[in-house]
Amino acid sequence: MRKNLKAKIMESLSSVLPISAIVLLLSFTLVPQMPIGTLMMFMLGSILLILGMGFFSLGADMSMMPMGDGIGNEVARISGKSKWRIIPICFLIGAFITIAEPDLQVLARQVPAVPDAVIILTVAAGVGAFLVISVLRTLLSKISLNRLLVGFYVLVFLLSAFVPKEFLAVAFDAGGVTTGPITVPFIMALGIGVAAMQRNGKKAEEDSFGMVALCSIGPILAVLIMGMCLSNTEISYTPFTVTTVFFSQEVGLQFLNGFPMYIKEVALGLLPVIAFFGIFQITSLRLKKESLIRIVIGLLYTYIGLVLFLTGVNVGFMPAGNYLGSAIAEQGYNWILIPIGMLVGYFIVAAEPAVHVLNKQVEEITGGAIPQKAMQLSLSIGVSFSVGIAMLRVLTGMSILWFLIPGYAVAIGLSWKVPKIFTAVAFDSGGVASGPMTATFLLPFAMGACSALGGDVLTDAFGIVAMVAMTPLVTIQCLGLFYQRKLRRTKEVTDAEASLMAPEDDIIDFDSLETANLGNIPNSGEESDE
Amino acid sequence: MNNKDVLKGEKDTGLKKNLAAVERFKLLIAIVDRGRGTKVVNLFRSHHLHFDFACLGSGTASSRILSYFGLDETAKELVWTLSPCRRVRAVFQEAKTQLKLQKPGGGILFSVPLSAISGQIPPVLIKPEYSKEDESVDENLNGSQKKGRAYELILTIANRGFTDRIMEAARNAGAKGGTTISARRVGYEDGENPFGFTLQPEKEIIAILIPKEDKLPVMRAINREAGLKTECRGILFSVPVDDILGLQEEDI
Repeated sequence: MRKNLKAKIMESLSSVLPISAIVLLLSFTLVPQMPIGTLMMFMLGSILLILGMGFFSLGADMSMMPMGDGIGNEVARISGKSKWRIIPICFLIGAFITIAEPDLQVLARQVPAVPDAVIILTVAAGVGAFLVISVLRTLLSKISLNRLLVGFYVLVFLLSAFVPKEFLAVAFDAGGVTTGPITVPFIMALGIGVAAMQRNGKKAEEDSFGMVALCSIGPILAVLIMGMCLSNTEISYTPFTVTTVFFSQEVGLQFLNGFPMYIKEVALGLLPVIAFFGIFQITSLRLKKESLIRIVIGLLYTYIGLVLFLTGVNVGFMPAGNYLGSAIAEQGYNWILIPIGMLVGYFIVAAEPAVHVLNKQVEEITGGAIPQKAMQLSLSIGVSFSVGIAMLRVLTGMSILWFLIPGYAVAIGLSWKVPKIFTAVAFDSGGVASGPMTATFLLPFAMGACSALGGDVLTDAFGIVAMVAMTPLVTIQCLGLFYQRKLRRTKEVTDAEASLMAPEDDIIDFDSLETANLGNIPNSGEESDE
Repeated sequence: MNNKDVLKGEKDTGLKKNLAAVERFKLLIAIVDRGRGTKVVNLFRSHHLHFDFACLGSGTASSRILSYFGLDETAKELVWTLSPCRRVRAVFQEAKTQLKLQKPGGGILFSVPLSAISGQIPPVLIKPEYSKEDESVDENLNGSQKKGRAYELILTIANRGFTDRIMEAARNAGAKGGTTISARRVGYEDGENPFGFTLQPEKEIIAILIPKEDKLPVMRAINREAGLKTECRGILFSVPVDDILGLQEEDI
């Protein structure tokens, strides 16, 4: 018991502490005038993050994964009986978990010109439709994931030409709502559950991933189509504002105000997952009492973990990120934003809660062939580059398309070169890496830097989310290339050994040997048994 | 006379063909915490045991309550390799110190006797340059024969999700702990569906190391609670175990 608890604590410590240490170090060296209130909130936020991360990763393993997996199994089983019944089922699952996503409510409020309900329903329908598509893809296994992704990305780029610029920003942000810490483990587990029911083990492994990637295209397309329908409406998109400086007495108050909000939001977000699981459990799944108790306790952990994590990150990290960005940018040698951004990016991805779920599942599904450490390293390198590039853009004002288009082109090109599972994992990890940490620390960091330098926040700073979602596509697939090369190079048996074994390709039967020449056997440890 | 010569000749060529062919082999299995598998592989490699394979498993909870709270399941790694008999003892000797198997929960290493292997394996694992090391080690260790109790390995293959029930039954009959490995049933006939794939029930393999004298009670208990007649559809059997290291009598 102690060992497992210790491992979990170590895991969450090692994912949050590095980034906290960097910020602390910066506040002593480069930006010594950082308000003590902001720093205190950051430290308090870090503690909440460590606790929240620990509870969440324990809870996700115990509840979200078995629930998603169980529903996935049932969906595959239902499809065995009647082909078309799964379409409405998957659509409803996708739509309802999206409607409950707190980020979506926030997004809808940021676009006042369009009624909230319209945006929410559009995005939900997009996710629902793409969940249907991705489940059908796994079951039919006719179209390869990379072809499907290319097709949809081309469609997205084509449509984006006909849509007002503001809608474009809303659309891409909507793609991020399906990558929240509740939806990612659930959709991922659902995908694994559906894929696990297949005959071919190899295919099941490849098809286990890719569902998150497909599902995050859904809302982008849906909002783009909505934008085309409403193209004559003037919309204003105000992404969000950052509260900046606090005094020490306000610190506690900020957290106290934060908690009730996230207590409500997380409960709302978990509700549809629990409801769908309940329906499946009653009608067909019928898990045993022991498993159910574990799931209930796991849900409790997930809930506590997410409330702590989201409060900590939103209240504690956002002001610190914003302040750091602007303070560093105001220095004479503001090019230092690039290396600092890269350093922060390298360590921050470990603190994304869904990243651990992804890494663990990848290790589990591939039987350890892709270890968690390799995934972690590739993601860190990817995010490090993306933050570096984002800082370069903040400093120079270069267009994001200079980086996004080549990036996606390379990612798609690589998808024909590397083993299929790496492509699926890579495209999933893009959404996973750009989670709450990116939204609450990296984005305010970029916004702070951008406004201090007098740039256009909407175009220069916001690109950071898109960059963080893009670079892992390349780095994870590079891991795949490396893996493939290593696999080709390793030889189980040398040529000399092969020539030695050629004449006797028979089976050595020890039992018959024993009777033939008793006494000649060098070691006779176990004959005494009989 | 003639007959004898023929026999002798046959034996000679047999021996000349490869002395190693007469050497018996064992299957070594190490169960260690996730992440320490490379250490085991390094140890095996240092003894020229090249055919190692790993799979993932997880340790079972030691009580029902701890399992409910998700606190007692540890991620494990299983490393399998083939080894000539006379090298086994040297590997075990070094494993004791290098893998820290003496510490409670440090891991388990055991060997299973084999009845036959492919003839292509000995030429790779047994080479003249290795045998010197083998012999020197052998001399040192000749005295330290097997000690302690004899163990067996009980394997139960059951439907996914019943590990807790199986372990509960096993614990009540005296087992201390076990390791589970995920598996999938293949060739399941009647699942064909309009999508053209076959539904494969997910399975779990539960491995329990047990002293020989406790084997029957534990197997009976598992069969009663989780056998083929129950919804767990457990299939169980046991395999002999030769050498064992790291199994604390009081704690696993």
